[in-house]
Amino acid sequence: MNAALFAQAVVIALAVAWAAWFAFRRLLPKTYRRLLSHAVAAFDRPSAPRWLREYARRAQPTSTSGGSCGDGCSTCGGCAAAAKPTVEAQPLVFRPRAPK
Amino acid sequence: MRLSELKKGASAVVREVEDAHAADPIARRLRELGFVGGEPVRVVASGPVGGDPLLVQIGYTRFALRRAEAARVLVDGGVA
Amino acid sequence: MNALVESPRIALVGNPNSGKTALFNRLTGSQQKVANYAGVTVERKEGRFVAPSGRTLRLLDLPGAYSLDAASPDEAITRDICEGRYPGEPAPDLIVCVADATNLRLHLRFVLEVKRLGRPMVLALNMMDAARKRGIRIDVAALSDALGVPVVETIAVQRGGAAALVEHLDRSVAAVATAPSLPDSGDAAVEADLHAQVRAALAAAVTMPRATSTVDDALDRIVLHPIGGLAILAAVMFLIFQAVFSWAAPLQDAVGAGVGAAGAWIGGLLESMPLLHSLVTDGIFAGLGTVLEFLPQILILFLFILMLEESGYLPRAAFLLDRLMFKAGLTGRSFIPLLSSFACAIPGIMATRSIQDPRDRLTTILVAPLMTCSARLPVYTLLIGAFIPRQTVLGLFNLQGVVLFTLYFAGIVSALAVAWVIKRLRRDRSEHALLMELPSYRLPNPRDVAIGLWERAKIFLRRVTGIILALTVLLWFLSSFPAPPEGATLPPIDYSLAGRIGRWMEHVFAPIGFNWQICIALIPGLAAREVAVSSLATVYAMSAVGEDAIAAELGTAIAAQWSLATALSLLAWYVFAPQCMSTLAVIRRETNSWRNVGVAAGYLFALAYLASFVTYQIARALT
Repeated sequence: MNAALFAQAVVIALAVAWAAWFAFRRLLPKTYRRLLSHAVAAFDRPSAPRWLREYARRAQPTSTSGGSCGDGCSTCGGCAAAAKPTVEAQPLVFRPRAPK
Repeated sequence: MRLSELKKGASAVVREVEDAHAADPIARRLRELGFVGGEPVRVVASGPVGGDPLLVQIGYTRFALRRAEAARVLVDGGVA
Repeated sequence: MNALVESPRIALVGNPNSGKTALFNRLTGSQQKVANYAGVTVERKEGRFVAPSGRTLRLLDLPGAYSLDAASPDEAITRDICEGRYPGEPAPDLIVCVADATNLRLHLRFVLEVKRLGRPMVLALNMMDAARKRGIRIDVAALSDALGVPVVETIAVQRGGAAALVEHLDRSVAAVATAPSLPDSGDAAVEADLHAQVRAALAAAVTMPRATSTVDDALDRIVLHPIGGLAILAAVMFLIFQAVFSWAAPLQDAVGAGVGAAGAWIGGLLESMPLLHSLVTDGIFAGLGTVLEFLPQILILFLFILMLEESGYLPRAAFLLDRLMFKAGLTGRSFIPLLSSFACAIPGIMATRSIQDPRDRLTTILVAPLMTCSARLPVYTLLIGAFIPRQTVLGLFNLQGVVLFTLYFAGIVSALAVAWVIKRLRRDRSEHALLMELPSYRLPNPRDVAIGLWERAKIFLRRVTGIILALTVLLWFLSSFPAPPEGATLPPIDYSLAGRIGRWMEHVFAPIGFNWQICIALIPGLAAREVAVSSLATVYAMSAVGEDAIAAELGTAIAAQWSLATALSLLAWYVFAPQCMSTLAVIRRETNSWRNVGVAAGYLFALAYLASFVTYQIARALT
């Protein structure tokens, strides 16, 4: 195998791996976060070196941003903006009105 | 007379909002929107089919009300 | 982090369409969506800003409410936060009650209601510029005395328009830490008629030359005219679709030419690496380039949507069409969520939180995906461009624009029909309230529209370089491997995994005229509808035999290989198909039920298959 073909194999492997990771992250965000947090937690143990633990802690996924849009339809004005919604959407509970 | 009976362009003064049934949420909301005794109202426009909904001016605000909702509002002094 | 949690929390509350979100954007520098109608904000949004004293303040933007006696899910959020009952969130340290200075009679009632909570608060008189223009004079000191609440003036849409508010917040938040400012006056009038108090306050502090603006009166006379109004509405809709086709064509050609040239140049550099060459030209350039060509059209569509939203015309359109919605069993409140769904079903479904009745809300959620979202535009325009001749009908209309209008119209009609069926199935006899406020007209601010379009373009490009790129690479991979055996005569895609899946799916979709290439494109299209277009481009680029075919554009390729019946059938499919996983996910989230997701996906799929089947069979019989 000559150098050009080897380079080609490496580039394609990287591109496909990136695409698979990206699609997985966007299409199954919850599963992605769960797996990532398990994987990262494995490094954050007392016997691990300090730099590794520090890194693991930083790689720990943070909580989701409220609306997971952008991964489906092109246009979600509300979610794409800068202010970060911090609470997951709550299921709605209808309470009867208080009598006046 | 009821608000729903007013002609387009007619003005009147609200007497009260009637509950269509017990604990009527629509009547309650109408009162919150300002349909209380003594407020002048005016029918500004009505929908293209069957004159429904009505556009009612109350104070500085315009509300679109369906006829069934407007029928809850009793008014005085309007010209039918 | 701790400092952040302890920094004072300020909540923006007020009547719908009083400009809370505009004020929020002004203070925090964020770009939350604003528009000129009630109920744009349905969620609690949080931001922060640094006051001149250096203190960080946390700001909550809450959905508008007419009353704390909440009648809809979005109002319930506002009520719960103000009363300190929102899960995981204490009551705000300070409430900023925002009121439209041109609409004080309505808005002050809510201010007084909030005041009864007895929390520290300040009244922000917003839209002071509009009030001055209309000759409304407000004596701020007298109003503050009459209400027993500090009052500041703001102009949220103007730079520096919130300076007075920031200064006040900075001072009063410091006061909060020591002693609660402004204890409730405590007189018995608290329980007395709020409206009487409002009237008294207005009499004491406000002079208003006339109740409404003359411009509003004049415009409403024309726009809400029973016949003229409907004609204007039809003309506006028609103009939009004509413009999407006619204005975009030159821009689209330019983008296409640019992408083609870049692809040819880069492809030339990769001659020595055949597989990588295929990935770059057949995959990335064919796929992404084809989608990118639709950016001009999407921007033109949004130019109109943004201008209509800002102008205040949308609630008028809802007024005109209310009778139709009523017949279909929808509430007038469904109009805005359904209209938002033309941009994307996801914000549309979220906007249903302003609907009071849970059953009305569910119906609206179920039919929202039938509104043609902007992600379908590339699919529609690709097929229309390839199969419908660019000719003029009736001496005025572009036939392609007419077909596009028909497709949008088909979505609307079927949404009404489905809503009607749901109403029948439920034997629903309940009352559907309208109670919709029509806002004052406003001239769209060119700068805001430009920012809105820029945001749109960014979102689109982020998708093209993100999820669409990723899926295109994956599709290319699946269409290339396993590699063809020695001495293969067909293009490699025929031996690949994707090719086999496509051929297997073809059995199911043959009755509606879909070939295996379309079947392949349907799968990645689930992640995002535009991906169906990029996938088709990739699949066709890879199926092309011989060097000369590679350069062919997707439009030319399908025009040569598909029958008209197949094209029409695919168009019909896209009117209905539940081809968007995110929409299904948001239905799950908003209704908290997998059953509703199943119902939505099931009926949409059945309708899509049926419509395509009928279209295909009829078209084939006729051609």
